[in-house]
Amino acid sequence: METEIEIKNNKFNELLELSKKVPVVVDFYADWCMPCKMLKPILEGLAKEYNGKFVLAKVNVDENSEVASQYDIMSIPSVKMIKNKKVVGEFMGAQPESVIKSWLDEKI
Amino acid sequence: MYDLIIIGAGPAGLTAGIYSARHHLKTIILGKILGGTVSEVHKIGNFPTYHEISGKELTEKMVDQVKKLGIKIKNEEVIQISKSKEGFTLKTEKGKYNAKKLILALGKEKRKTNIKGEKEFAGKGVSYCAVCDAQFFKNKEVAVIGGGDSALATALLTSEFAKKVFIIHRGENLKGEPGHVHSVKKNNKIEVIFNSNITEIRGNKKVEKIKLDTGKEIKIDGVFIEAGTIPQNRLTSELGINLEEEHIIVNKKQETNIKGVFAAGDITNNLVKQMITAAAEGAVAAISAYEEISRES
Repeated sequence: METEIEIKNNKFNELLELSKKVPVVVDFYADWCMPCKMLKPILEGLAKEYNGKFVLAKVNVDENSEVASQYDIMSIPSVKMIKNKKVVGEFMGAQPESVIKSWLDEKI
Repeated sequence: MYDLIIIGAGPAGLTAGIYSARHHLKTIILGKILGGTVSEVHKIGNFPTYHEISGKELTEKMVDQVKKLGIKIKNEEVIQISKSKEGFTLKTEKGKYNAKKLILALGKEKRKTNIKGEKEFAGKGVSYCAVCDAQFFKNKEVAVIGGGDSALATALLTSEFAKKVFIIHRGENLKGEPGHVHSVKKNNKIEVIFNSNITEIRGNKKVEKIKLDTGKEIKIDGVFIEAGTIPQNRLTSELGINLEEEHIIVNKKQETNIKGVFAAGDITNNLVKQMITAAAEGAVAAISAYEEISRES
């Protein structure tokens, strides 16, 4: 199974279906946001390290504005964990890897 | 063992990296924020070479240049520094590093205000990065807290999206670059409320209104916090570095009172806090470190 996917054209439904099987960590980002750029490699590294325990879904807010507004995104980077179609946890901003790891361990 | 460890990856630390590479010092940069706080600035028009460039783009160019010179930049926060026989030992959350010399380019971070509701609504209308978040407030009404240059720049940027921007300023006059002050005064979307502080940010699931100490309440969708900065001097006490009003005291060579430790950029007690002066201080610090190493070997 892929550990990482990029959402295109607001195709979020498939992702919600996937969240019934495995926790999905959604990274709402934009290309012009520096903290997003810092967070990206950390999340990608953790997706590999956790090896299928969660799927990382990257959502470019410029290309998926409907999804971004559906999830009330007002600040990026914004990360949400979705299980069974529901948001079970979230954090904002480029956090250090250790903080994200404890968040993942608590929420998965 | 590195010749030089630079703590901080903003313009001061990155420029120090460029100079240390060109002086063949074995160097690593450890930084929490790649590009430093200036990477979140919307437009920079006072750095030579570009009439106008975003902070993100300019600092990315600096980072590229450093990497091309063979200097590694690690996104690791230094937790502890101690003196060792040959220099210094640094601990990060991932490992240990040893170096003969240090450059502290620790910079500043945005100040939080402790206003009631600030924490609760972070990411739900409260923002610390206008470049990141301004576009989420299209046709909405927002407030900017602060009266300094960064508050003015934030108000100008958000006014490109929002239909109304209030600047809530505790003082009587706007402080900042005259160009920004002029643009704010001319901008009919921006209203400055002087002699006022926000006492509370209120809302249900997201920000809905702010309350001022004058008793006034304003309906609002977002609050951008630009209430100044705090020098990141946390690591200095372990080394016994002398400070002046929270900033590291340096001489013309960017030396601190501790031998082998240099400082550069917004963290120093130099008066001008600009990207160009931070870069210059980084260059001086790296050359001074090189000279000290040459004298000792």
